[in-house]
Amino acid sequence: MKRIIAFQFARVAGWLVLAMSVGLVLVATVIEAAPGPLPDQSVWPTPRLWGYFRTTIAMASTATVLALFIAIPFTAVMAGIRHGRHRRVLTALIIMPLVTMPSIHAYAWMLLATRKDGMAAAILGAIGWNAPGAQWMQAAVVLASWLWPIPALILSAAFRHMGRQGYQLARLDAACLSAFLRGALPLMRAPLIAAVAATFILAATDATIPPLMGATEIWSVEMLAVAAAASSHTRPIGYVFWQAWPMLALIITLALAAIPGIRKIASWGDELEAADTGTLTAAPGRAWYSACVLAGVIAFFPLCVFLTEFGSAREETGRALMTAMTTYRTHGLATLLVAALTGVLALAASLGVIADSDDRPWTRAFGKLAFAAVLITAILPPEIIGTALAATLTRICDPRSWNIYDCTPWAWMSALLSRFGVICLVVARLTNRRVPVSLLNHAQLEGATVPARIALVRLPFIWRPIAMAALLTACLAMSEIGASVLTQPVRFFGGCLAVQVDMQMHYGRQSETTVLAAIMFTPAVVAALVGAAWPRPRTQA
Amino acid sequence: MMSRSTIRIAPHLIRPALIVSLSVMLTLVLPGGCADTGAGSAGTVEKVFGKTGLSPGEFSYPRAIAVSPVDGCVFVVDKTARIQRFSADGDYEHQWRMPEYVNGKPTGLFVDSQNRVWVADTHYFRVMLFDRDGKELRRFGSQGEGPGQFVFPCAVTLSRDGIVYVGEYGGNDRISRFTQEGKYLDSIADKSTGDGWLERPAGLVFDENDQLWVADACHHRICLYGKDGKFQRAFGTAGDGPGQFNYPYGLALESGGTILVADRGNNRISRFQRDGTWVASWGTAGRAEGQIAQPWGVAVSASGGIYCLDSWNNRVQLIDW
Repeated sequence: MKRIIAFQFARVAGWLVLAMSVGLVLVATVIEAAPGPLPDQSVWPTPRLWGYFRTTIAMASTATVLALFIAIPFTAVMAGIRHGRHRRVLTALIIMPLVTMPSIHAYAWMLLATRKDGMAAAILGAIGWNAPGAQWMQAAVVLASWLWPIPALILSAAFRHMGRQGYQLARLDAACLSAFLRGALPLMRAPLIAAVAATFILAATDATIPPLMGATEIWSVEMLAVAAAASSHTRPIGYVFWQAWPMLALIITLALAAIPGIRKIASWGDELEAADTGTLTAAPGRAWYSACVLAGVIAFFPLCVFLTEFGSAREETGRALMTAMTTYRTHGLATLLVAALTGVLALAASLGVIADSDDRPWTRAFGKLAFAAVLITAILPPEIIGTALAATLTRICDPRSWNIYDCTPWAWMSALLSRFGVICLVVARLTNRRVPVSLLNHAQLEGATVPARIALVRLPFIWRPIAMAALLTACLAMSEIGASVLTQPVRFFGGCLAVQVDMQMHYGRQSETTVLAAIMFTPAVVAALVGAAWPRPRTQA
Repeated sequence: MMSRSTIRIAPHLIRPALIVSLSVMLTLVLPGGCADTGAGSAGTVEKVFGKTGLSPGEFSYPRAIAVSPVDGCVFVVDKTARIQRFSADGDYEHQWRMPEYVNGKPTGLFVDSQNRVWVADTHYFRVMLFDRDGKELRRFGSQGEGPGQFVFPCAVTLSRDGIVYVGEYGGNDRISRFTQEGKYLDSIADKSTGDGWLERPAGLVFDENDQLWVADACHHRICLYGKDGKFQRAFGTAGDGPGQFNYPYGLALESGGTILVADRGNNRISRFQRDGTWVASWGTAGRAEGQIAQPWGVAVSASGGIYCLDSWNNRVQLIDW
């Protein structure tokens, strides 16, 4: 009985969390955007903004192509791996760049390219890396080095469910990569489109990498400035929304194009992966070792650059470490606390969307609605999420007294949940489908109620993947900047460390910034460990 | 089967639920009163001007402030690259925009005794000179690490004998001296000067003895340089205690001989004796009147009032302190 009460408590808490974070963002956005543009606001962007839009499209497209270019060989290698443990090791290495704070990738490249001596800088200089006007290309390369895990992971999962047969047929008379491209990839078109859409959306909405690489006229950077100035308008969210609509329209179009792929991915929860049992013991080949080395190089590239910086100035690094620990201690603690709580709240929210087929209609409907809402906020630009929360809570909170906006990190956590809560919810829904029907029927015959069936039968099968997803959410939350910069509380005991690190990359002392960047690499390592230990949901009693 | 599941799941649901509830409550309730770093001493806010926005009299993250020694007008530059002029009472008067601003916006401002506005145009590697209405009078500087060149000039001021001092960061990290026509003279406080080396000299101000005070932001200290450009001494360490700094960006001298420092990371203005003795701090983090967030600059009016550039709140607070 205690378990059932605890589950019901967690479920209601999950609903409340979703309503107060994701729900607040969506309702505020709809209410303020629905009346249309503000009286003094032109719907049609200025030629300057169109220029920004074009540059951003070019940059995001290039980044997406490059990300695919990197991801496909890895997917082909993953296709050939038969041992579950080997696959998890490679997955762990692949996932690391994605969870690494994006600015860290950019900062590492920036350090490398601006070193006064050194072979790397000379090579980069020789290939025209620092050429005037090439900054958006640099940003595209760095974006690709951050985002390539998305297509790699989606395509490798798609291969296991959709492309394996085509690959095996093509493999009869073709080499590994060729068989993958000609045999498997055409069968995986829908997930491929979803991967392309996700990569493009993240590349186009990132506002941290382009400025560090010196790229100007970038849409997302301009939108951050628009969001910062939005509070002077009567409808701040409406103002940002109607400034950002061309990018939003593009994002929605891409999201719609990705729906068939998302449906395919969602349906994978209904079936078991035939060859992913983790029990086959084929020895890893040279391709696996090569892929691991290459993925490791990409994953640890920023850390290696930072370590070489440390190596050249050990004494300075020691001082910088002490200063960074002194200066950013409270920010670090606050960020750690907020990230951990965001993970926990995401876990609670995921319990809110786990449904049983015999659940009350309104419960199932609420679960679906919440899931759809989280999917929508996940693709919203962070500026809109941040503005929605900041503007709404600013209105209702009196700055002269204790209030939830200035003194607590609720807005900050809500923004993080709106951006990354989707991971937990997707994992929860996918794994929920894998619970053996026979067990559920058995419980029903024994007279178990719906909450009892979820708490006693479903949760034991699915809690581990959800907990892992919550940990991943917490890792991503630690590195988020776009929405955090708009929602971090002024009177909380500390602010967002990622925002501070990003700011120091522009204004700060190099040795301290490098130390901080190295510290901010920790979530990626944790995420890699999660990836390596990722549990498969139990599929039999 | 169900009883086995029961044993396994129980601790995973009840305990986390209790921990989560407790953590959320602690996070929401406890830290509310813990944001202040250092006690803010009494000071009265006489006027607040500016608010978030792009219209005249509004700001979008203002990053430098300067007061005219001629008529007491206040000049502010923000992240829209607009330089706005206000009366000493904070009434909006005029604005202009930098000729180029796509690459980045200026972070340094100074008004000389001829009421001309000197601007460290950070991301265009130059210094620009305007009259008080924004008419361009001169520009000099180019990108590079050689003598007279700039990486990111972030502060500018004039000595009593009319020499232009330009502080820069991002590689050069030094103060270069020029004639007012832009002819390079020499550099001080670079890496070769040992203890006197600066990293991001964000605030420059001369005292009545023509000694240069510098907010050495990345070293979290305030430095003093003699008339000859030689390093004299420094005070301040990194931290949030009294007399400590977390990226001091702005600097101003009061007529009584004290120094005001805009301590951006600690959300406060600190007052020091010239020997480095901490006197008091004003401001706590927040967005209410009398609270500040990320102050980038501080300036003193002719009547002794203190203009605090409350950057994150997009406003200027005039304080009687």
